[in-house]
Amino acid sequence: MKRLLVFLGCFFLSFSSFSQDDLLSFLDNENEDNLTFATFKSTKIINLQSIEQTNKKELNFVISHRFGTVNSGIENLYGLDNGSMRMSFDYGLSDNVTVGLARSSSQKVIDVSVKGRVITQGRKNFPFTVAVYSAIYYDTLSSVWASESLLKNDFSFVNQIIIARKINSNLSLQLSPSFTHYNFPSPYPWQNVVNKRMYALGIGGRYKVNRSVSVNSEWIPILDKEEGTVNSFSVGCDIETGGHVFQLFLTNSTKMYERGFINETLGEWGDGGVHFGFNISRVFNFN
Amino acid sequence: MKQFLFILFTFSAIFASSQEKYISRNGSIQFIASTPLETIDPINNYVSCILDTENGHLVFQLKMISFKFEKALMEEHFNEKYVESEKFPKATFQGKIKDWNTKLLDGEKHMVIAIGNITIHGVEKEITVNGIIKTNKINIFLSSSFDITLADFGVEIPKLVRDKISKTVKVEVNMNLKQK
Repeated sequence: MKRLLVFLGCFFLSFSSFSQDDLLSFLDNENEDNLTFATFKSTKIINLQSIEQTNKKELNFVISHRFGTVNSGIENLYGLDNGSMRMSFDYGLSDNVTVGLARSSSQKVIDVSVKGRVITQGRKNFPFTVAVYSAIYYDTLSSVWASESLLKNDFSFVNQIIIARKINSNLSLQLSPSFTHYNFPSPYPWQNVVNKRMYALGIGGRYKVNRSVSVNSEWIPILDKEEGTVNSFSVGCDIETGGHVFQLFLTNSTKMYERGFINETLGEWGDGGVHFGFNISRVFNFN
Repeated sequence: MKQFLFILFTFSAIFASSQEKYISRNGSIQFIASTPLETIDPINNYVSCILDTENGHLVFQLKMISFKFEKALMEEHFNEKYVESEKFPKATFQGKIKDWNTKLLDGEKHMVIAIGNITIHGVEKEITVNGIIKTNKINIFLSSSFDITLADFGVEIPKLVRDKISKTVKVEVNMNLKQK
């Protein structure tokens, strides 16, 4: 009988004494998705749209400037005397769909856009975040220069697929294959765009230096390059302070809308034909 | 007879061991770090918790990224800059209820003290908190409210926003555990 009691005692103990670590392992649920967040600090890398969305019921107001060329000398304060600007308002219809409205002073272009996120990195271990971006541009100035002034000629379109991967917490890379369609190519005599359709591949990335500052760069080679067109290249940094993101950079593009900086860049890095520029974004919350 | 007893005890032991654990995967933990300048009161409704009624051992686990803030930007900053959720995805508490006995499960409200180790932002710290335990026929309710200091867990607040975030954070816990 004694032996039985000892045996039973041991038996009970073996069942009852779960350690706290065992309890913790009860709670682990490995099937959950770990969705990637904060691939970039801002909705733009520099000129290019980044994978980031404006969140639901938030208005992202971005004000951007590009100054004159740095090689324009001290009399123009290295370009700071001249500048073009853009205001854009992006509103998050949901966490995955953003609509935007913007006006750029360069050629007085108004654009409306929509950006939709298709899949987020980490969903069922998917390696990339993928979004699509589409914009329509209306040139309010082009009829001044065009030989025939038809309303439809003032419109052009850009479609982009945005594929990004946050490789680690500091490094993120992005590819943006882009397709531009001009209803009427190059109404402007100083531009070299002669094709109605243009294809380009945006390549961008960021590296976080510390938790508030990152270094960004982007290069946008045009795939069917015409003589005289220049590929856009930019390098700069993001500085984040509470509700604002400041982006300061050098770029050879002055236009701040996709059609312009992808296809209509004029400046050459080689001879100092680059511009200082900044984007400042501020998020307003309507929750 | 002996054999019968043996079988009976064996079965009761197996039965008892599965009966003794109470578990929840959707408990809530809210923390309040509000200041006059900014309201910060995110809530996490996916907190896991398990209580072993055999010995009063108690474990909590949550994912930092499941805290939902009113402002999405604040949520991003919380995860990316302050608690570094990619490096330290989970926060845990492992401990026990002091002076545990099954009388605490008699359906009345009881004040209890939980002692154990809390891990946030990769930093482990011993903690003692007051709480309330209450049962009905099916569930065990646990609730608690306590303060933690961000600096204790190596969470640095940048100078620029120092006035907007409270240095001491009030944590409110509400759990509804069901038998496993």
